[in-house]
Amino acid sequence: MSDHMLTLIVLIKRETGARDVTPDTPIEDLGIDSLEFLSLLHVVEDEIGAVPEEQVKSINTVRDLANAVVIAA
Amino acid sequence: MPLSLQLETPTFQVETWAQYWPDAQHLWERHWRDVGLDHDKIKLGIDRQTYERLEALGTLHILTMRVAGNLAGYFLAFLWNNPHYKDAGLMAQTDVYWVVPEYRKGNGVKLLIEAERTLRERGIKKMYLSCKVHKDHSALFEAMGWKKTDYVFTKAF
Repeated sequence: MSDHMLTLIVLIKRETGARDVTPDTPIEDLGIDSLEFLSLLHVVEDEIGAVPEEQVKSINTVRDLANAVVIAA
Repeated sequence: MPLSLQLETPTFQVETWAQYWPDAQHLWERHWRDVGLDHDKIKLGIDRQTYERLEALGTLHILTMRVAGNLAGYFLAFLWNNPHYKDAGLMAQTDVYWVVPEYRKGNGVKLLIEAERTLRERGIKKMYLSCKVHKDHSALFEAMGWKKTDYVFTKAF
């Protein structure tokens, strides 16, 4: 598992309280609603990298979120 | 992604009225019961011809959320040139938005983000969005950068 994925999983566990989070965990299994999902995206953007708006609709798993993040050079 | 999971994930697409209505007609009653008011005075009755006319004029925007091809949510907006601001460009007034309760869990914000994005692609300069007092999405809207600017009142006779 890449450092990027590990960092993201730690962040997700911290922000959502979800315990068992893997790259294949569906976002809907994190137990969050729309506002909490948006808040999660904002934290990801603050701490890891930008999430392009056009990618949001395709984020269905933790792996999708990891792939969507654009890390600044 | 496992095929079973692929089948469950929502897709978002701009559709025509002809693509939207055959499935939507089965959801509107449920939507109305969930969100609508004054059920005893104002009965639901979708004017399909008006929607078709608006589409023909290029003033209807329909975004759908589908899961395994089934309609699971929608966002409709009317496009117009506000006569108060004749040189400002095209604006969008939200008509309705709704996600089937079984398919919520974070998909509502995706629908709204995609609605904004696709309307901006159409050249919209300003959007108007609202929610019911008893289904207050203000916190979500404001977290998305929307500003609360109006209070809207209704009275049914």
